Parts: sequence; structure tokens; C-alpha cells
Amino acid sequence: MRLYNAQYILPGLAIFLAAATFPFWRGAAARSAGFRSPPNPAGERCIEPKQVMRTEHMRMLVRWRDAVVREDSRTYVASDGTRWERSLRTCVACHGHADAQGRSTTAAAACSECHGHMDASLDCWDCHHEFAAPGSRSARLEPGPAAGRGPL
Amino acid sequence: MLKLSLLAAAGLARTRPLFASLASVRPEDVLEPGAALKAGRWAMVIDVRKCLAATDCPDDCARACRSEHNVPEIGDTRHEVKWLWREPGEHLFPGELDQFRGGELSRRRLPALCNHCANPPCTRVCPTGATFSRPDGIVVMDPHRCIGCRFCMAACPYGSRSFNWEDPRPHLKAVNPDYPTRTKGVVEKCTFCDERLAKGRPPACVEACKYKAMSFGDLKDAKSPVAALLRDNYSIRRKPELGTQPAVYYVI
Repeated sequence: MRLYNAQYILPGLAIFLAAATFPFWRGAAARSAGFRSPPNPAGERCIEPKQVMRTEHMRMLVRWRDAVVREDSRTYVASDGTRWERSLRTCVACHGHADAQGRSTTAAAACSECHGHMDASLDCWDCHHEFAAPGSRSARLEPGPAAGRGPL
Repeated sequence: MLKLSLLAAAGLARTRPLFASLASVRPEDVLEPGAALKAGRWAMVIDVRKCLAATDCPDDCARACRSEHNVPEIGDTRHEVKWLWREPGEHLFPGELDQFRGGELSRRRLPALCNHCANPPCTRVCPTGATFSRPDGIVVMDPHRCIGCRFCMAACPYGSRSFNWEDPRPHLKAVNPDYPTRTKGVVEKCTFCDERLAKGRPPACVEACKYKAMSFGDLKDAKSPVAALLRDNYSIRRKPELGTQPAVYYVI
């Protein structure tokens, strides 16, 4: 068996493979450029356990948005029974403050530590305010705790 | 550039359904039990007699609305954003004011806002469901879903909807951090202060008017202030012939 026109085909294949896999190796190169984990927020606790927030925060935000805007349902009962106002203000109240090291003074900056790294653009802050209101405290509501309801 | 790799990976990998964990919607509590204001049918009554008597009206209703909701003041009238504004009576009630009732009423500038119609044309034409009627009658906007097509603005016979032709933030003198701004490309309007009602507070304009010319309450509650006002006084609504059934009444 013999490959005709190998001098054209082999470089062509190489170019094709390089182009087709370009997103992967380009992405890998960007990922290895280093990643700063988001700063620790102010406030003593998060709404749900840290691991839940890591994997579910986006679903929580979508669910909260629809609940507030479309269903006028504004209280979130966390799995441990604590009650929170469904609002981005609740997040910003802690994540919109500077941490002990003074990093990320706004919630938008905290979010963009990850989202920027993953090249995912956020447009939340086009409308929502990324700063906690002066003198704002944790947005946890009283009374609590009661029977928990769970994630989202 | 990473976005490219993510897109490429998404094509190769089977992903978990995005809303898998949201299948069931639970009944939820209100913000603070007993605090939220609820109604069968929210309505507003503007006592025009008090407006006319207040010759030195400082326009507190519109000011309060603008500062509460971060409504920008854009000089260019083609780009202006209106939630609650004041309009001469002859513009509010075209064909309604006869030679007996007209006169001062047609010349003076009176509060105008979204009528929160029971039969709103704006929600019928919205292609994304971004604007809709709540069960208590408030016509709300979900700016997250607004695609900026402005069908609702064409449909609204009252001019109560405004489009953000530009980023509104540079036009804000002061920002209320507890209420979002809007962004370029979405429509906005008066919401009867649904965010305040949820916390047990009346609309900002009602609270701000020092002449108590605006009343707010439940039409279906015979004991509410709006029901009492409408029972005992002659009132008109804007363009009733269109069949939109406005919930903003003007006592004249």
C-alpha cells in the first residue's frame, strides 16, 4: 500500500488536528496560568454548607430570581431551618466586603475570580449593586431555626 | 478563549439537565410572616382635588419614586425613563374632560403612572412573558427575561413604559443600593412598589405625598381606604373606552 501525495496530506492532517484541538490546548494553557481562589467573605456562615454553595449556587440564584420576581416568594428556608431573604443583597452583604487580606472589595470581583478564570461572563452587576449598603449586616431573617427545607 | 474549549467540551460530554434539582416548586413563606401587605386587587386612588389645591406641590411623589427605584433623569425626552411622572390633565384624560369639568384640571400637571390594568395590553403582546399580571393585579416586569423588543411600549395606551436606550447608571445622581438599576436594552415601568409591599410598606409615592393625595389599598376590601374613597366620590380613569380596566382612579 502506498500513500499518494503524502507531502500534501500529512502536513494538511497535522494542520487540521492542530486547528481542531485548538480550543483544548489553548484552554489548558490558560488554565495553567494560575488561579486565585475567591476571598473569604465577611459574616460567620453561608446560607447552605460550603460544598452545596459551590455546586448549586447558580441554581439557587436562578431559583431565587424566579421566586422573587415571578412568584413574590421572598423567604428562603435553608436546610438547617434558618431563614434568609431571597435577594442578591443577601449574598452581597457578605461577599461584597473586603476580606482580611483586603482582596476583592466587591461581590462582582469575588465572583469574577472564578468566572473570569473560566471565561464565563456575568451580567448580574449591570443592574444589581455589587457593594453592600453602608452599615448592612447579615441578611439572615428572624425567627429561626425551624424545620429545615433544604437546598434551593 | 476558554469559552471555546468549554463549548467544544459541551459538544462532546453529556451534561446533567440544568434544572434537574428544580423539578418541584415548594410553597414558600412570605418574607416576614404577617408583615407583607397582601390584597385581592391592588388599586390606587389619586385625589385630584388635593393635587389642585396644592399650588406649591414639590412633586414629592415623582421624586420619591425616582430615588427609591434608581430611575435615571435623562435630559433627552426621546430617552427619558418614566415610572411616575406628572402630565397635564388634558393629556391624561383626552376626550374625558368636558367644558364643565375641564378648565384648571386640563391645564394642571397631575401624577401619571402605570395603571396596572386588569386587562393589560402590554402583557398580551410580550413575546417572552417578561411582563405579566400578578394574581393581586400588579403588572410587573421581569427584566431578566426582557429582550427589549418594545412591543409592550407600543401596546400600552398610557405611555407608562420606558426603554433604556443607554446605560442608565451615569444618569443617576444618587443610587439606592437596595434596589437594582436597569441596563441598556430593557423596558421598565412602575411596579406599585411590589418590593415595598413585600416588606409591609406602602408605595413610595403614597408615603411621600405630604398632601395625602394618593391612597393605596385593596379594591376587594370594602374597608380599605381606596374602596371608601371610590364609594363616596366621583372618579374617572384614563381612557376607560379602551377596556383595559385601569386600577388607578382619579377622584375629581
